[in-house]
This record gives sequence, C-alpha cells and structure tokens, in this order.
Amino acid sequence: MRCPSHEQLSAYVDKELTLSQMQKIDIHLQDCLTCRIEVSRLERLISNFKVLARESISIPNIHLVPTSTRSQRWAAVVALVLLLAGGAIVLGYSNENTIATNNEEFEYYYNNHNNYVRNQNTDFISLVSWE
Amino acid sequence: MALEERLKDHSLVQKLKAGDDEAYDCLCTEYSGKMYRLVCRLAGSDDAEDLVQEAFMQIYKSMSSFRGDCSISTWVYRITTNVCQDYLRRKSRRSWRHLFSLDWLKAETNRELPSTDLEPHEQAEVRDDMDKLRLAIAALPPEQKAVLVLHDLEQLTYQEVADVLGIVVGTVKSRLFYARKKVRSSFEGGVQK
Repeated sequence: MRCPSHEQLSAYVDKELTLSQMQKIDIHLQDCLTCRIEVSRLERLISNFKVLARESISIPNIHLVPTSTRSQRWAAVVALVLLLAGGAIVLGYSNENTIATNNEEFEYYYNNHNNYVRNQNTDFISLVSWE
Repeated sequence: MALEERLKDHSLVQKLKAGDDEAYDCLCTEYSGKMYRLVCRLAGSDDAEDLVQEAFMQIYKSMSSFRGDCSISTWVYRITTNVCQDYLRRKSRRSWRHLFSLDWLKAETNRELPSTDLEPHEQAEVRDDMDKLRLAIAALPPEQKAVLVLHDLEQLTYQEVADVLGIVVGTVKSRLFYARKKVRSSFEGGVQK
C-alpha cells in the first residue's frame, strides 16, 4: 500500500475514517516508519490541544437580559429622550418670551426716557425763549 | 444523538417556542459558559460578554424558525460561531490589525492549567507552550480557526462541526488538516527557538 495522505492520517488519528480505511492504515503503519512518525507528531499536537481544552476559564457572571425587559428598557430610553427634547423646546420657548418681554420693557423705558429728556430739553428751550 | 437527549431537546424547544421564561433561563444556564468559552477562543475576550448577549438575542428571535433538524447544542454553537464570524468581519473592515491580535492570549492569561502533579518549573514550561499554541491558533484564517476550535478544543465530531458551520464533512477534514499543519509549523518553530 502506498503511504496515505497526511490528510488521511489526520482523520485516522481522530478515528474519523471508515472501519476498512482504519484497518488498512493500521496495517500500513506496521511497516512504514515515516507514517508512524507523522502519526506520533499529530498525536502529540492533539494531546497539547487537549491540555488547552481542559484549562479552566474564569467565566464572568453574564447577566442575560430577557427580550421583554430589553424592549422595556429601550422604550424607557426613548421616552426619556422625548421628555428631554420636549423640555428643551418648552424651556427655549419660554426663554424667547422672557427675552422678548425684556426687550419690550427696555424699549418702553428707553422711549419714555427719551421723551423725558426731550421734554426736559423742550422746557429748557421754552424757558430760554421765554427769557 | 441519544433518544433521551432528543426528547429532552424536543421538550425544551416546545417550551421555548411557547415563550416559557423558565425554559429560557434553563437554556441560559446550560449554555452561557460554553458560549463564552467558544467566543473567547474564536473572537477574543474584549467583547466576549456582548457577543454572548448578541448570540442569545438571535437564539431568542429565531426560536420560532428552529425546525429541530439538529440538536439544540449544534444550533447554539452555529449561532454563536456566526456571531463571532460577523464580529471578526466587522472588525477586519475597521482594522487589519486583529489578525495579529493578542486578544485571545490576554483572555487566556487568567486561566488555570488543569491540576497536575508537575513541578512548578514544569508547569511554567507547559504554560509557555500553551501560550505559543494559542498564538498559533489565533493567527489562523477564520474558517480554519473555527474548524480547529470546534473539533480540537470543543471536542465536536466531524459531523457536528459540519452541521455547525454548514459545510460537508470532507471540507471539515481538509480544513482541519491545513489548520493543524499551520499550527504545528508555527508552534514547533516557536518551541525550537
């Protein structure tokens, strides 16, 4: 028998061949040193994988949130965002009003003050002209 | 799959489809640890918890479409592997550096070796070898890594790996062979240094 491919030997080590294929390779290995070396190298690698597989992993306590709670949480977030946006709009509007009111008051006082000054000046002019 | 296991799976699936919260908790308890371990091995530990959450969300959403063609564990592994592969694809679009990422190594540094009767210096040597092995596995292309992790570390059979990844057994055999070849050459090269 010709040497089986390394792919076949890899499957042989995993015992993933048919019974007849396994038997053929068993017989071949008795006479072929090269394939025996390949098989032992593969077995050494796989035993290293087994050590790696057996290592204990510190698994965190994963808190899995059920779907319903998740959707409720999203709904709460959306509601909060809408509330904040609404609040911001209302506050912005009332600020605008306050500024507008302040402007109106300023204009009122400014005009009155100008009238007062104008009146004062007029009185003065009239006094001068009277004199 | 044994008959008893199939019956247990069938009953669990029926309860899950009916929206039974206890069945969902049962599924979480049974698989969260396994999924976390698989995610760490395939995609690193940085976002492992989020990826497990994402996988559970997909399981929950797609429960109604589960036909029971395979076992629950195969199905869970399939979804988890897909989530990891999507994540790696997204990550690779952002950066190619993940190919050389030491995420997995970092994840494993907290791990403990199985209890042995080895002397401390021998344990250190084994630990060193395991680190090299992890690096070699982490550097594999994603398709080869998935096959190797599922078969050699998660101890699934060729058929189970084929079911999880949606490929034929022949492809599993060939990918596993190339993956082992690459790991062996970089691992043995590293050990010889």
